Amino acid sequence: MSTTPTTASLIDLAARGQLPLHQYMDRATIDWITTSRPDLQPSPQPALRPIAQYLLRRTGLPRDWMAEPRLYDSIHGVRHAMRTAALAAILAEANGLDDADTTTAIVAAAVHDCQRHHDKDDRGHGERAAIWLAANADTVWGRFDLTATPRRVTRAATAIRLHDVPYGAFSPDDQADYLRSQIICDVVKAADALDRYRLPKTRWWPNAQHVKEPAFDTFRSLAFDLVSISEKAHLAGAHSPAAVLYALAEKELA
Amino acid sequence: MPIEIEMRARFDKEARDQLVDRLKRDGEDLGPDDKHIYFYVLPDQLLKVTDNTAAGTAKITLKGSKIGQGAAFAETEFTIAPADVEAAVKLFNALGFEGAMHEASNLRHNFRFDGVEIAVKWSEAWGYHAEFEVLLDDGAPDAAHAEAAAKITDVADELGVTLMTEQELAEFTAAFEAAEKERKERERQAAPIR
Repeated sequence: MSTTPTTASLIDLAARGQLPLHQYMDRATIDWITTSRPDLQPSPQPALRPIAQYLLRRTGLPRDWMAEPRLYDSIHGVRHAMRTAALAAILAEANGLDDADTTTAIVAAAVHDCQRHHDKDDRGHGERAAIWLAANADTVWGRFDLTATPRRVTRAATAIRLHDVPYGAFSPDDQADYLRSQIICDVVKAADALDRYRLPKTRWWPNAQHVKEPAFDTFRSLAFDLVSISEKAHLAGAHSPAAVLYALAEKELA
Repeated sequence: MPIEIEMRARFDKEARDQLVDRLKRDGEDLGPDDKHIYFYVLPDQLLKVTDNTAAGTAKITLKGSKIGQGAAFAETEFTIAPADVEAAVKLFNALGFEGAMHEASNLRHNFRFDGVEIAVKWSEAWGYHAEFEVLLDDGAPDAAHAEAAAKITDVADELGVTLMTEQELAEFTAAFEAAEKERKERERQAAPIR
């Protein structure tokens, strides 16, 4: 299936500072990720509520929702979106969120990167995705058999807009928006960060200093396994959504 | 045209793990055989374009009956280049079969146990499941069909697996096809993305 469209692996290119705009997992990189696994405490088995499991099965977004279709199978593509949504569901459960906030966090996580133009430091992609979400709210929530209420859309769009803005860089307006949607923002940011085990340098892997989520360390092991299982399944030929759904089945999450 | 005698079982992850442990211990491990399959559910027939992603091969298969219409499947099959999978799917879609097309990634590992080939699989639609298969020569007598079916049943019993009945298979595939039809209709009616 998808391989890096150059002769070098992502780990080689990252080491040389030559990562391309569009980055695809390859065998050498997933083997390196697997062998570089840190000594992680086993995660407890999350018990996701039925609505969360139902939504996770629908997070394999249509390709035409992506601003750049070449990103669909890339490291910021649909596999990352689906794993981030699953991790958001897990963190929502760990934080005791109700059904409304859990579903908002899952939907926000599923589309948080869909307006990226490339896999590098794409400034403003969170803001673009928030605007896109507001314009397409009925379609997005409809995919999940949910109704796009103003409160849901506002909270999800805020979490998406702020997901690529470090807490320390919040403007006064950002801070005011954040305080109105704090738990959704914290969960989406932490879920996005937990999926960084897919990246080709260990210093880019999950760092608790960049998030505000008490359960962050608890689910590192599970996050690593989701990356490992789904990326290997994809490289074995599974299409991206199936690869993640298989990983969720293997971890008994959906 | 060879005849496949096929039977299936669905189970949960724990049962999958136990089955794989037993097959690795007492069976012959034939290795991974992951596939991505485009299948066309036609009246009384099943047409498949199979990208054997683990093996690096591809094929087109016409099965003479659908799942849930008996365990014996006469099939016509020929290989194609993996690079031609996309063109084959485009061709069948252009011939008017697109509405009958579904696709599925199969994570699959093959074993042989007491003369029966067993594919332990996961797919989105079926979850964890297994396919038990004995291949017969074209023109094999009815007695050979019955003997193969009995062999598969014995092997499944030995492995602690409950095979699905034809009724269960027919109901399961009908429910899947109905759900797929509903999904396609919902996607068709969804508002376009702006």
